[in-house]
Formats: sequence, C-alpha cells, structure tokens
Amino acid sequence: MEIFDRWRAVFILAFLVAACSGSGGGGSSPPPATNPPPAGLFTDSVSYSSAPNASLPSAAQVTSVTHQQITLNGTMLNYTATVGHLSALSPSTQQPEASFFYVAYTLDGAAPATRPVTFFYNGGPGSATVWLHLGSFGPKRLDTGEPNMSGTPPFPLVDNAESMLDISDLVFVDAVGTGFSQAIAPNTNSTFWGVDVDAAVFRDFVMRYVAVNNRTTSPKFLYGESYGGPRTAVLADLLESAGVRLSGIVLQSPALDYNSNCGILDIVLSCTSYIPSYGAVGSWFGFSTPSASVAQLPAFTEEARAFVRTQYEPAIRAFLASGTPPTDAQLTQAANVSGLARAFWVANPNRNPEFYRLNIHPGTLYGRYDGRVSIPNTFPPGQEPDPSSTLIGPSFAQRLVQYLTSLGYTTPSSYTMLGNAIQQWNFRHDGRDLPDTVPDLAAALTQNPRLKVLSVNGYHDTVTPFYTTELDLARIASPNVAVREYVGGHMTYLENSSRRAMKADIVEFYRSALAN
Amino acid sequence: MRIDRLILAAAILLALPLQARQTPAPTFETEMKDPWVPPATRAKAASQPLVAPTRGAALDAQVEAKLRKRFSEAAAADGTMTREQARAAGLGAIAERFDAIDRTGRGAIRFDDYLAYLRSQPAR
Repeated sequence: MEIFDRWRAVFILAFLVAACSGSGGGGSSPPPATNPPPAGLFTDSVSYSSAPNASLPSAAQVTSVTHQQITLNGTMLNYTATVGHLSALSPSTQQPEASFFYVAYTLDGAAPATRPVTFFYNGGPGSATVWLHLGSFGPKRLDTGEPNMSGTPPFPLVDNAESMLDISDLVFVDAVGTGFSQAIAPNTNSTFWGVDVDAAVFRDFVMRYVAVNNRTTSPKFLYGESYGGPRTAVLADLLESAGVRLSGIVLQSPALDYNSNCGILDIVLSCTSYIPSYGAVGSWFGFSTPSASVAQLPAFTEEARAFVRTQYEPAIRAFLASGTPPTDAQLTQAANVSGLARAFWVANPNRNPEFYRLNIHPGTLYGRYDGRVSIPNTFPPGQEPDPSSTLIGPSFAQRLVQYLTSLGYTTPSSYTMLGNAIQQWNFRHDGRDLPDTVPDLAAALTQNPRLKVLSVNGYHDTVTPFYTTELDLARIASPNVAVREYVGGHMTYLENSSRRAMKADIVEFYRSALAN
Repeated sequence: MRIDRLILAAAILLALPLQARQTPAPTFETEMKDPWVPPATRAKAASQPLVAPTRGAALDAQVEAKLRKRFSEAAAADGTMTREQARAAGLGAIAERFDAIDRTGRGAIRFDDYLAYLRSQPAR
C-alpha cells in the first residue's frame, strides 16, 4: 500500500507538471528563481561535435520554448526563453550552411518595430558565449564574487537585476565549433574558422534570425567581447553592406587590431599601452608609487597615459629601433607606475603582460583576464595558469548545464566551452597575417553614419588593455565612437559595482542610438 | 493489483521524459587565452615589416578600397551595376537605396556614384 501510494504520487506529480508546463505557460508560472525543470524535457538527440572536420548531415531546427518572469527596477516583465538551433543559410545557394545554437530572451507583447534586439557573442576564437550569457546582462547571472571569489564553487546562478531585458531582446549565440553550434554538410566546422568566413556566417545567422522572427524593422545591436570585438567590426561592415542597418555596437574589451597588442606580438611590438593597466593592478595591491584608490583611477590612469604618450612610447620606439635605453628617470617612472621592480625595467624596458603578472610580487601569481585575482605561485615555470579564468570556468560550465535543463533543453552532447578552433584559425584579413579590423569598423560607419559604437573596458584587464583599445579606436576619430573604463578585468560585468555602472551607461547608449 | 500495475506503467511512461538523459559536463579543449595566435602564425607575423596603424586619409583610403573591391566584384565588366546585380550579389544596402545613388536615372551606377552618395549622407 505504501508502494502504491508512492507511485500514485509520482504519477500525479508527473501529470500535474506535464499539464502545467509547455509552451502555453503564461500567467501562473512560479517565480523564475525556483522554476523546476519543465516536464516533457526536450532532448535534442542530435550529437554535436566541435571537431574541425565535424559536419551535420542536415539541419535540425528544434527549440525549447518556456515562459519566464523577471523583476527589473520594480517592474515584473514576462518574457519567453527560446533555446535551440537555427540554421544560417548561404546567401548564394540559400542552403543551410551552419546550425547555430542560441538562447533568445524576448519580451512578451512588445512591438517588433520598436523593440531592439541585441546579438551577443564571446570570442576566443573558439569560445562559446557562455561568459556573456551567464555573466553579463541576461536574466540570470553567475554570482562569482569577483575578484575575491571567496564563495564555494559552483557559484550560484541568481536573478540579474541588471539584465538588459528591459531595453532589448537578447540573443546569445555560439560560434561554429563552440557550444552546440556546428557546420552543416558539405561544410565542416573548420570551413568557418577564419576572420572573414566566421564573420560571414554570423551575418547569415543574424539575417536568418531576423527573417524567421519578423525582426526586419527592429532596431539591431551587436555586443561582442574580446575576439568578438574584431568579429563585430567585420560583421558590422558585412551587415551594413547586405542592407541590415545596425543601430549600435557594444565592444566589450575588444582586440580590434592584433597588430597593436604586444601580448600577441611582444617580440616586435611596443608594450607601453599596457602600462596604465599595470598601474591599475599595481595600485590595487599597493605596489605602485603612489598607489591609486579605485576612486582615483581615472586621474591616475590619465597621468599614466600622458607618461606613455609623451615619454615612454617614444623611448621604447627608440629602444626597439636602435637599442637605446630609456632615461633613468623614465625607467624609475615605469617602475613607480607599474609597481614592477625597477631592476626588471632596467634589464628590459619593454615588459610584456606575462612577465608582469609573474614577477610583480615573488611567490604570487596574478590573473591575466583580471589582474586583481591572485593565488600563491606554486607552479613550474611556463605552466602558470590564469587564476581569474580557472577559478570561474568550472562554475560557469556546471551552472550552464543546469540552467539549460531548467529551460527545457537537454542533449547527450557535451557543450564546448572552449574549443580548439584557435589552433587552426585563419587570422589573415585584408592582406595581413593578423587582423586589423579598425578599417572594417570605419567602413561600417561610412555606410551607416548613424551607427553608434560604445567600447567598455576593464582597468585591471591585462589581456586587452584599455589604453590599447583607446588608441585603436582613436584612429577612426568619429564622434559616434565612445570608450569607457570600469573597475575590473576583461569581463567587467563580473564586478558587481561595474555591472551596475555599465548597465546605466548602456541604457543611455541605447537611448542615444535610438534617438537618431 | 492490475490497476496498480496499470498506474505503475503509466507513471513510468510519464516519468520517463522527466528523467530525460542528462546533458553531460561541458568540455574545455583548451584554456582561455584570447587574444592569442598559434606560434607559427605569430612567428610569421613577427617576421613581416611593421605597418604603422592607419588613420585620417590613409584609413579613409582603406575603407574606400574595401568598398570598391566589393562593388567591383558584383559589377559588370564595364564597372556598372544595376539594382538587380546589386541584389543578386547580396549588396542589399545598394539595392535598397539604388534610386538615391543613381542620380542620373540611367538604371546603372558606377562606384563613384556610390561613393558620392555615401559622402552626401548626413554626418550623424
């Protein structure tokens, strides 16, 4: 009898859950934070692979659709979460070329003609969009506690009070060979592993999404991070050319010109545009002289920029050209600003970011993506991990699977957080071995003079330093291009105070882009 | 007893989708390291002469060359382009604004017509 009762309970529960869920949902949904997995879980039976030669035989375009709620600024919003695949079509043949995995959040009842839609993607190349999706402005975010990360992993997934859902629909899409996105035969994943082919297939996805979802008249925005910055520049040019007008572009810590970043080419390039970032990190730990408080960072970094612009960059140009070292005063100033011992600057006045993070303080290892994150350095030389990355990666991975399951999507495939595309990537672009995509962004602005660009950067990012990005974007000299800095690393949105500040700036940016 | 079994069978059938196969743990094939390029790419790029970043007129010329190349690839051999040719080549922006670009109304435009149109657009 007891057994019978238990099974009856299961039966009733199963029946009730099945009856309450599904795409009709609506009014009686419980609050999102406690949503149970919907019944009739949609299991995507397709097996996805990130291998270079992997190819889907055909395009499955199934999605799990659930209805959710979120409270933003005291207002409850009803929205639809759509998880699944949509195929990009080749413009020449109209045949499916790649199956993109995406998660879209769309506000219920909004008018498509005025409701903006924003496409988000990370970089790598080879990175899935999990970082922006679960870290930045989606309806949920991972509470990492950056930079101390003192909580016990996996960090919790919480409602995101700074979600951008109040100002835009949000589409988080994974590049081919990442997440669950894969090429469709006769293409293979590696068909799309290059600067130009990648941007082209993203264009085809955006155009397909717009067509299928009747968003032709919607204001359109792009939000790309890191390598997603150059991807955005090339993509914006391609979309404008194809007749898809963009309203705005957000570049999160972009690597717009690979030829200006000494973290990529430290053999030949000046590293001086990293020095203001070294100063922010050195100040955080009190190694710089004087060390700036967070509130003093704008003034401190302005002085650091001036030092680099007027003194240290000309000195390093001379050093790289002829071996002439900077003056004693310049070396002292480099040491004072950065907090890295003067003897290191004397030995080599052009210090790259990897040397900086390994040597600023003996026995301690500092983060690349976020220099504020540190751990004891117990690693063999050459094998030092990036603690700002390794301390968050497993939590993002674990929460992503649980979260997608809660949105009704499961698959026997493993989600590729970081794939190997970067090893085979064709970085050639416009006749150069490494991409300079500033001309692409300029071409997008030439075709659409109303397009607005906002670059958001972290003071403590030693991967894509803010001053390098400022110099890259200053080449365009357009009043439509703005650059902002925030406390934090590459993913400034992981810092709670910065995410709030960014949200306010992004709201204003959207307002101004839409007022055109 | 039979009813119990029926309920049991129904319960199992209904519960099955609830216990749908779990998505396996995500994969990290590499560490997070962008922006980064493979050693061979890096060595090749480093062996090339350094190019100063373009700005001003040089950047404008790059933009123009980019647009000109795209136009030429879609145009007829004589350098002219009809609305249909623009559309067929995926140049939606030109196709949609064709009449504004084609100020003489010939039904065919040259790159210089397109450039003049772009330059005539309000700055902001």
